[in-house]
Amino acid sequence: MSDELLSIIDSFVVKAQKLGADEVELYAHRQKQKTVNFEANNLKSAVSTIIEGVGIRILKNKSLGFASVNTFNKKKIGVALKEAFSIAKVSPPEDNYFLPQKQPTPQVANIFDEEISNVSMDDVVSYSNKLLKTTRKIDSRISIDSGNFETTEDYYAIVNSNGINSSDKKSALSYGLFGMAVDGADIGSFDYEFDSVINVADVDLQKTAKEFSQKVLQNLNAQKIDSFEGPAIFTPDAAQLIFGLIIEGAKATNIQSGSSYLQDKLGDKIAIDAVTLVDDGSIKNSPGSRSFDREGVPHKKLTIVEKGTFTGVFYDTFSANKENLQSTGHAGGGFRNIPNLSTTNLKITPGKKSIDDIIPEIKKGILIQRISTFPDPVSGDYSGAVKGGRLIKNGEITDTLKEITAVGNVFTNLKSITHLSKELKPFRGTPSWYVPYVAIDNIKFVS
Amino acid sequence: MVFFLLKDLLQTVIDKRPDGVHVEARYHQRKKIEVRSDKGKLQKAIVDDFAGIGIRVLVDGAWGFASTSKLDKSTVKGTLNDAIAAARNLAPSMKEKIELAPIKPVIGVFKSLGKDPLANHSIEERVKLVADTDQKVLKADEKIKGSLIFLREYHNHRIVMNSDGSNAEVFDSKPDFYVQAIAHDAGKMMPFMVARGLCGGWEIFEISPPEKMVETAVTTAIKLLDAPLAKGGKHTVVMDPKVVGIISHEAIGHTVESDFVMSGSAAKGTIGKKVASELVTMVDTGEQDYASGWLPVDDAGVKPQKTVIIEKGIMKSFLHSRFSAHYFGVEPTGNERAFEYNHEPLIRMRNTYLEPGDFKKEELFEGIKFGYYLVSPGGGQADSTAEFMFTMPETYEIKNGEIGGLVKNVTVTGNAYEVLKSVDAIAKDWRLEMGNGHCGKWQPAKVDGGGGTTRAIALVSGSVGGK
Repeated sequence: MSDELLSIIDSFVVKAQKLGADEVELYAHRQKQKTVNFEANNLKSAVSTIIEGVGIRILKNKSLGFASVNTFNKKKIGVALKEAFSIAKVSPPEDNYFLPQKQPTPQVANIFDEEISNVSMDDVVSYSNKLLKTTRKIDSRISIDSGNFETTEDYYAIVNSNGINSSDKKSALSYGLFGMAVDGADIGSFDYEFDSVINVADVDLQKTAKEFSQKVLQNLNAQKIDSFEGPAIFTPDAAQLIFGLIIEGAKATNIQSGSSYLQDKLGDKIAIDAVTLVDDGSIKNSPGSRSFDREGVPHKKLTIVEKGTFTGVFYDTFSANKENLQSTGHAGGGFRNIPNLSTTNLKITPGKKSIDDIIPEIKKGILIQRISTFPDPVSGDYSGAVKGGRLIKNGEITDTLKEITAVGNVFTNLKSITHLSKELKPFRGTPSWYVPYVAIDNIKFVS
Repeated sequence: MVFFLLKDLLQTVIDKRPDGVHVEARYHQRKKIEVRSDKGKLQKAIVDDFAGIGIRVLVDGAWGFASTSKLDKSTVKGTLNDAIAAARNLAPSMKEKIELAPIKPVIGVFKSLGKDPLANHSIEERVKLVADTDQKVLKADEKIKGSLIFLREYHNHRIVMNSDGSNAEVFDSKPDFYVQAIAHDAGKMMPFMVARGLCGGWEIFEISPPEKMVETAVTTAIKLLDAPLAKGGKHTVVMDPKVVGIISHEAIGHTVESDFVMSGSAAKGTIGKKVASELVTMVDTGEQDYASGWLPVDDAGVKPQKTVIIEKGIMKSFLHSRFSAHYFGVEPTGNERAFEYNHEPLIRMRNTYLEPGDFKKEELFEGIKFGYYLVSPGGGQADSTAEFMFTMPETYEIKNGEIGGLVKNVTVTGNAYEVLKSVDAIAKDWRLEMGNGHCGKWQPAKVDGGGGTTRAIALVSGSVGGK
């Protein structure tokens, strides 16, 4: 299938050059999915989809044109190619616009399970039934608002006028639940739990059902509490807020446009020594991996923060060209848009202590399950509604809390981290994240 | 000519359905244009053409859905068969069979392309507009060190048919325009974004002139550099229509989507009960053809109703699909929407707003000793409990009835029903003005919202740490 995609797009390189393109790139994607959706504690629908299409970038006199079309029909690809030319014609030139060169692109191991094509819609229905039943059996107060079980086969191909000519395929089984617990008039805060695996044999519905149930059940019987200032433990779910801001700041495009906190901070200490962040899209058997990025550049390991020091910036080809550097292989996105910067498999190095040993050290604080906030990516300030917050008193978890806001600054918080747990929770998907519990001092809790 | 062929294709799907199978067949072409410039550099100018047919069938009480971008008869028939096979796979496992409330078919052609259709303007014009606007931001003040200008347009052509006789065709376009300025001073950095989105054409730039957006973005970003933090606590707030819209949509609207009600949201069991001040009448409708939530036919082939959710403080109606309408024994409200052809329709809002009141806007500020004027919302989220949080990047102090200075890092939280119970004045200045961006619920949707300027009590937090 992937080779078939290559043969469809390959002929357009010469066509584009004949039309006057200095450089050209075609990226093709075909995605096959079987999905069963849930709604209001019941199965709802079975969906079978195929999406396919081509995204075309052309460079003419250093000006960029892009067009995409969701078909492999050669006539329509031809129309899109002309559209890309007409855009390049009216776009201002940029010196840093040149496409990546061919380089060795090793195939990442174990990201496609041949078994996936044997998973029938009947199988997807029975996985779905099992996920719903397993979850509801845990406690009748659990209400599943929505969710799904889905199999995905992705086939990719990329060609450019510099000789890049690669194809790849990936499989995924993804499943998730969204909902809350309801006990009479007591409605808990909503929460969700998702997972994604590459191999059919790795599907673990029990784990997802258990973690979802735990999250929503603990949100019942929430109590109000007075304002105070003290330590917080961010669960891996909530801690994504903190590391997410580092990622936004470490994107070359944000640094170059003057909208990054990390501008001019390469080599600076931005967090305590225990914080190390590594992104690696070439890990075998991880849903965030692929053999090459959206521009055909192989993924490689990038250390973004090492022992608290900001060490790595995410680049794609254009943003790297601007600084005479090499792309780090972080061009992401699909065929319907030009590449954008994104992570692959982001791993935060775990700490030494278990979460069970961190909680007893806290006299009065809050375990933040989820935080509803939109931190300012530039200043780092946030003020967020704490969801499923749990009071820690004298080293023990007591009440679930409601209507409480956590106020702080992510960049200040990074320097007042007291612990990272040794447990890492995987958030598997595209991209994947592996995140510990994070204990931070001096958070203001306002009620 | 091509359009007739598309209708024939969809008609084939309806005609070839086996006995006892309900069919909805949709064609949707979405042409997306995006132009973006950051700090004086054109980041992208793209055209994305995304078109295909989505077929939903109800077989033995189960939904099946399949879609294709190959628009020939045999592929489309195969897609119908795929949808039927999927539904048949699912049917034996359905605990409760899905049944549909009856509808009157929707027939007709509906258009909202604006006074000055986008199709009359070239890509060149768009690139120039975005680049010029970017230059204006960068040259406005020496404290402006960063910028982002973004134009996104959706050009939609939809045909919606179903086996109950609906046969409707819709042409519309929905442009969004964003202007962001980033001010720097003495190690501090403050961004501020102004955005506008609507259903229509190039007149968006008359309604919301780029120069004016630049001026607001630049002056507000600079003022924010030195703005103090808000005083945390319960305060009287005067909310601009944009803020009224987002609270109506996020914090109340989602809790009355009947799929969420069936799962046990805060709105469950509230029909006929007092849930808000008697000044509050909340509506969700697809009527306004100039607003981003315009919807003359939903994606199940149902005519959208003007749905009065709350009337004078009393909960009147939830938002329904044909299935939920059957379940609750009411009429469908026409809220089933699909973002693109390959999406299955879900219960979504359209234009959600509070009806205007009798007050003059300035009267709302009278007598407020201390409070906040919430002008433009940033991000927000609401919970199953109707508890919400919104950031309010543009908020002013109100002191002794007068609008005072800008404050920064404001977040407003509370329970939406409690906030609506505290409403004691709504102004006549009704407008819809939150059409930019998307609402997300498994798939995006274009919506709008608003109301008259509204006074209420809410929890404001602002005493943020940091720089």
